[in-house]
Amino acid sequence: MDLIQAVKLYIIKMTEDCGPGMKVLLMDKTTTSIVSAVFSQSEILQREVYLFEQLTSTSSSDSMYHMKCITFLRPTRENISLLCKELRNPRYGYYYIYFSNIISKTDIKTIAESDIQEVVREVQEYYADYLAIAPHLFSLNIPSCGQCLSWDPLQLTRSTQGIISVLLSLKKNPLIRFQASSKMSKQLAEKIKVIFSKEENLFNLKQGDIQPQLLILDRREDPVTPLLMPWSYQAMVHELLTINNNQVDLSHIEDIKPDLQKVLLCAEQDDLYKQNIYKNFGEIGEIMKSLIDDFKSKAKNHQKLDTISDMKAFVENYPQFKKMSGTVAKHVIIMEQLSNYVIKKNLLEVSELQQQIACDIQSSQHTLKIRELIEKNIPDEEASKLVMLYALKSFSKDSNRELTSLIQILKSKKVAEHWIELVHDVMKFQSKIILDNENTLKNAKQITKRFYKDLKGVDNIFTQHVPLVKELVEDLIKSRLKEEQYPFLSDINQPTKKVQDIIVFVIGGVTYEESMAIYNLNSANPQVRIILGGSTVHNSSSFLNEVKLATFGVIKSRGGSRKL
Amino acid sequence: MTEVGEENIVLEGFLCPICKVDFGLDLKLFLHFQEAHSEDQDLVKSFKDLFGKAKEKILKNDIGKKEERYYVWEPQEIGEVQSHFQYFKHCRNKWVEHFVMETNKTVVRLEKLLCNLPQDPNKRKTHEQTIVHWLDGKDVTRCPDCTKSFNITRRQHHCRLCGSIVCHECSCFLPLSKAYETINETGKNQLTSITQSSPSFRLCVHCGQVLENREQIKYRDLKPLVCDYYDKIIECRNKIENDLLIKFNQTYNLLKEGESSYLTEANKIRSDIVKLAETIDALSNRILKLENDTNSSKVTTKNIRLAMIQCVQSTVLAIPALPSLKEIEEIAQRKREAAEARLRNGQDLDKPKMSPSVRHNIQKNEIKLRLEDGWSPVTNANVNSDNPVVEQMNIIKNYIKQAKEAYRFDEVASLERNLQELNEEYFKMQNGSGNMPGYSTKN
Repeated sequence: MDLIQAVKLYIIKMTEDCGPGMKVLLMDKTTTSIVSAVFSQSEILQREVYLFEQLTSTSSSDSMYHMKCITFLRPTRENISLLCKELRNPRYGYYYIYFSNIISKTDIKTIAESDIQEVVREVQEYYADYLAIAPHLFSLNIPSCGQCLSWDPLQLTRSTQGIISVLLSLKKNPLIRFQASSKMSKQLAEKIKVIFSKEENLFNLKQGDIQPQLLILDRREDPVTPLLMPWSYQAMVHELLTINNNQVDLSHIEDIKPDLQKVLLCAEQDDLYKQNIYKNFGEIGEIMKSLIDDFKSKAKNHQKLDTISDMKAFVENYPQFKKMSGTVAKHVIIMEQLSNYVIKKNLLEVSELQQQIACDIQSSQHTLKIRELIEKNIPDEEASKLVMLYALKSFSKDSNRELTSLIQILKSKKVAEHWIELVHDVMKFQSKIILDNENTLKNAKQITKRFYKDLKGVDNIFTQHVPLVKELVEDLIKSRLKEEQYPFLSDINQPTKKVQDIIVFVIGGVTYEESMAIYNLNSANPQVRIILGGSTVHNSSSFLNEVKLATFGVIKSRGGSRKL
Repeated sequence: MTEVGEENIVLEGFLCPICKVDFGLDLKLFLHFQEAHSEDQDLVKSFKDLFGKAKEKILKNDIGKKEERYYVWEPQEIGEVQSHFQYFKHCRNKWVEHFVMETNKTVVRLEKLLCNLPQDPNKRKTHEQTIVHWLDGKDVTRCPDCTKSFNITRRQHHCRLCGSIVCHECSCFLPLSKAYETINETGKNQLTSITQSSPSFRLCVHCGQVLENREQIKYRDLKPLVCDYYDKIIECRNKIENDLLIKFNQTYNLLKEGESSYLTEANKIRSDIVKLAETIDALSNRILKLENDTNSSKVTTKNIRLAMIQCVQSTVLAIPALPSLKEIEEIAQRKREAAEARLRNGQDLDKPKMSPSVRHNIQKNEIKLRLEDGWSPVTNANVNSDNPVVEQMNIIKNYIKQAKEAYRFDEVASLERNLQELNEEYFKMQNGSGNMPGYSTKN
């Protein structure tokens, strides 16, 4: 159930089916990122694909009739009309058309009628309509799911299509479970069910004994996780430097070498990254140091070129050496940037307090500590995030007053107005149901959890908070996920209690921390396979953007949120 | 470190562990304990035990979980696919028929126009009008293509092929030379745009497009020079990957086993591979230097060059240096000594068991040779080897040499076939014992 493998297999088949010869890959903007996420330039070149074009309205009119064109597009109306235009005046010898999702018969007819010169030799649906970031993580690159706490219809369609393509590429026909408290999740679940029934022949898949489960969750249940500062490598880089389609933009650093302006951070192609992707900041520092020492000694060895055998060894090892040095340089620069940010934004102290607020530790001290830190002149962003966390986690009557006083302090520190608005927006964003649940804290489950945590002690104060997704999936694995809160969407009564394959989709985005939690769950439970996906992968700034757009038009009231 | 204010009392004596009172005498302590804490004692002890065990169990589970960091899922096959090509073809065929008919009609009209074309412009117009009926422009106030109204400055014109009304902007011109080309089906290489030059036919854009499409189809099968070079490169690359690399690895293995007789062959294969790699390099360089007028072809040729550089690099890495004759003989010597040592220890030689087919082959060989009249090869006693299969292969190679000298070519053919089969058997055995070094398999 490897997502990267699934997309790769599709693309490999595309390049092989058209036979030998020089090939061109014609894509649209979305499919370009889908392909580049799983294939490096050199790998694709080895498959005889030598040119990569985008299907836009202003394509060049260079015709190369000796090349075969592999077209990989999303089946949108715009793409189809551009494709028809291309086929009426074809630039290439033959066209092999692949759509990344289900396409209607009328659209096929439209394309067929533009293919006057009969250059099309293949029309197929290959369901690779999602960005496969890791074998267990996919994203749909939707920056914002909707407004006024409900779906934007375009994005709803996109999410449905994305999930359908994940299921088809993994050949799964799952039972759908959604979050009862979230209207958006129910809508998405129903839409997916409709497509199941419409495309019965497609979903007539051979299943094992245990049917997989698709769990649809809403970000609103857990707005705390994206606001916390993460300390594992991938998550940290995304939070502080932003990873976009596996690329990090480093051009803002002074004196940066031109080939390091945009670096690729892809676990498939970078072994060093793959080994350290989930290690925390401290561990990576040590690993980097030992690597550099190793490197220095190797470099010294290479300096002595006395004998011919030395020279031969040097020449043979030089390409690998160069490759290693490039990789190490890249990671060293990234680490440098990360540690600069940590110092500049005082992230160690801030993160410690964040974790305390998020895990309800020493709650009486929270306001005091927030005040202290704000006095210490932490950046506006961090100060407002602390206040947001406090607002999200505190539910007593006193906390209202405390909250207003904290906001006053922020205003007095001349924090920009939009941060303060965001504090209110985040409170609106938080799901009302959770507020009700939190008040009935004294149930057995919470008590046992507390007990267990106290027993274990704390191994790392910066990573105490456990994302809600992890808890829910753990419950699901033990078949203890409550049906009232997470009901099945089906007509048949589900007697099956066992769980084997789980696909989790979070409306509103996931974070790399949650991805790491799922990775750990996978390692710990070899009998289940879990995949996580979201409308996008958030860091705190992108999450706050989404919150802002999502709460646009919602009236604030402390007891809950009413729509405008 | 003691802090001010904290009492650090050290109690000594006969203390009750639960109420921490000193009882002075052991007997007193014992009595007290029995009276006061008899029920508690067991409870407390058992509770403490339970707690300790529970803690251990829970924590141990947790520690166990922490050590597993990696997981591997089983390999998977490709996901669902759905093909719409049949329906596509069905739709296309209907449409294409209609379109082809239209094109043919247009071409037929063009033919009719061109035959008996009078030179005099006036007479031409009448001629054109007799072939194609010109639409009566009385009621047409706007140009059908651009919908701009007709007035004194914008006059009505007629398309010579379909007779419809067009304004001057919406018409294109087909020069006579090109018209003749179209008819005679002599597809010249240059696709020149239709320009205005006398004498030429005025056409509406629609008919012009139809004719141009038809012309385009002719040029599709033209292969530029790049293609020839590229095909050669791919041929070389396939030869290396599918043929030579495999052979090289096989002979390299043999050399590692100590069979020194394969050294020349290995060297030959190596030089073949290197030569092919050089050809690839040279050809891709030549492709890069070809004249490239369009942006896309520049990018394409650059990428071809990149891909071929990579290919050559990986090929070169895949053919390591061959060991010298001395080293091979050392290996062989060591193996012989090991075998002898095993013999001395009384164990059976772990001779690789010859598969029955190999044995059959050898027998077939011998029988075949005996049945021939006149000529039979002489076994050379020098082709010794530690591996009997390899020894057989050497013997057959010797026979082949002799047969070639004696001009017995049919014998050569059958002997070579046998050698091939022996080769396969040997390497199947080698694969079974896991002896294949990594070479890049075809993707």
